Amino acid sequence: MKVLITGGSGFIGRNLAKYLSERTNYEITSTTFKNDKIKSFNREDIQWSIDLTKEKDIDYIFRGTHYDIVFDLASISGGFRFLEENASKVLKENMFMNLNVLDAAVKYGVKKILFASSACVYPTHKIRKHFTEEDAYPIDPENLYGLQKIYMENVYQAYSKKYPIEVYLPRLQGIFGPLVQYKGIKALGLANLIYKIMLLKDGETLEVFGDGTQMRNYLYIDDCIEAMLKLTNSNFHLPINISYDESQKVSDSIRDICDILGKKIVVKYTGDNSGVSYRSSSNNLAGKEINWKPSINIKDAYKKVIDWIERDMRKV
Amino acid sequence: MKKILITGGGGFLGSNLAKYISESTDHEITSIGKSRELKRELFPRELYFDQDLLNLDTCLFFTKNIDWVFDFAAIAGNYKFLLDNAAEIMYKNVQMNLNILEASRINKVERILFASSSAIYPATDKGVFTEEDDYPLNPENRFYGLEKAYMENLYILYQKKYGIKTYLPRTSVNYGLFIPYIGVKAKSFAEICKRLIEIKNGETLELYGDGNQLRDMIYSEDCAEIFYKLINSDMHDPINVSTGEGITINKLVNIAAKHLNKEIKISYDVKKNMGAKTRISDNTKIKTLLEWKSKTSPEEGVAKMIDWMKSEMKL
Repeated sequence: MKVLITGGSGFIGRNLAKYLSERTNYEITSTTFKNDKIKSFNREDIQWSIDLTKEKDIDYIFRGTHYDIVFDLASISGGFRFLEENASKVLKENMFMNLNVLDAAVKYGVKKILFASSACVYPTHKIRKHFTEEDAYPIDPENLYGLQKIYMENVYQAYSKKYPIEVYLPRLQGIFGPLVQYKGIKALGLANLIYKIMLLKDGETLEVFGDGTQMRNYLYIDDCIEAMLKLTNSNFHLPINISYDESQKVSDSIRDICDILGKKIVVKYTGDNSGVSYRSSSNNLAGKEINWKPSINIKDAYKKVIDWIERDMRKV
Repeated sequence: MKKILITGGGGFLGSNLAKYISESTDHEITSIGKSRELKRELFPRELYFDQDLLNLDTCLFFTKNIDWVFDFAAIAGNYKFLLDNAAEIMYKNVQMNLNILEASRINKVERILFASSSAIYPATDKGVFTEEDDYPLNPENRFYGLEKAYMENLYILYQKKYGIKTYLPRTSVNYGLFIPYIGVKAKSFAEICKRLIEIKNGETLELYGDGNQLRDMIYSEDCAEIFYKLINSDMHDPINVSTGEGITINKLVNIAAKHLNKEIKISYDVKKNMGAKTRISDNTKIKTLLEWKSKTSPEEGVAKMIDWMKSEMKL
């Protein structure tokens, strides 16, 4: 089995490559951004450092190898602020990358392809509800990142109608775990929050955007990978939520993290605009269609990430 | 004098714009289009055939030293063609349009106009659509409408981030000179007129639907004039380019038959669904902000279109 993972230097891509090389004998090829040097998890894994926005570069990695499955995880991504400030670049380059990868996969006869869509496709600014998959229509995502994702979902569906390729469209959100970015502009909100709390001493103050009532839906990386693998072994080709069924209130997450760390800090909510205020997705469809449910309790997931960040901080 | 690039220059909108600009201004036009479509008689300064706009380097080459770009490049066609080719359209149109926008930014093009469409408005019976009726997006042809909406958003971002001046006309249905009347690109009204030209007195013309659906039909030369006014303005947000009025297919057919001096019968295939009863784009903005008044009457426009079609059909 030959697997291509684009976005191989990203958080999900690295974890997927690690998972597959530890538990399968698949031949794994991954692509990374130019200049993004990462350590391979397996000596035999192949890595291409290429620019996926360039058709020629993509041709190069497809030409020699017949992949059985492609995981298109390539995406310029980051926190809410990062996406706002880099919207034009993100929308242009993600579109080019995603289109090129799909088109090349079809051209070179790849059997299966998975595209990492996102819960950003839902009209979270208009309605507060437990979103099920069909709520993405009529199209009205809160931000343009979501518009790009739903655009690609539609391209995938158009391609799968026309060409013999099986497509998989998980809608992911708030994935966290080891290797997650926890500082800098590309940091995931939750990971950054954990990191900040870890740095604080008892009695010190943590400033948090918003008022603490925002709802977030997180998912531990191992559960996410298991869902993606189950999905690609299924016959389900429509968009599908991959998430916990319950969301976390930001103030509750902070309390739980402080409890795990045994910290007594003061939390100050700034009340500022804090990005998407409400995320809640139903995972019923995933239960029904691919027999998947998250297996890791959210507090255990916090604990695992705290342990990993601790180890990572010691390394530096 | 400005240096102007028109992509999709051989198409319906592009040909009308090239004609308008070369007749009424001294700007220099470069047109890129398909060789079988580009009209040499429109005298653009330079013509380029069959360029690969999916290639950024090509777009960079053609936007060099250009002041204004009109991006009309798109794979287009009738409803069925658009559905059958959704994959290519979603892939290629967005890639061409992004390349042209990006190349224009890199080459410091001052102004860029992208032909959006009233097709982005929802397939509902709302009837009259203002510019604010775009979201939630629920266009009749999801793929086509989504591409237009995505590009509009990119244009607005580029304007904010890089200062390139953007123009986003949402055009309603065009009719007029250079209208495609055969093949997959044929406009349905042009197909009706072709049939009218061909049939004899007393014969029957078949129409889909009851002929009473109201559509906002703008004469293509008027549309070209509005594009030109628009790119000279400060209206950078999406704006309806339309007559603001509805006309029925029956009325248009009557006008066409009268111009052709044809006495015909009409049969209606009411089983065919012709979409919403009314689709009109509110044109308050172009009337107030661009001071544009609808100039060409349907009688005048249809007559000119039919005369052009007859000459093309060598009749």
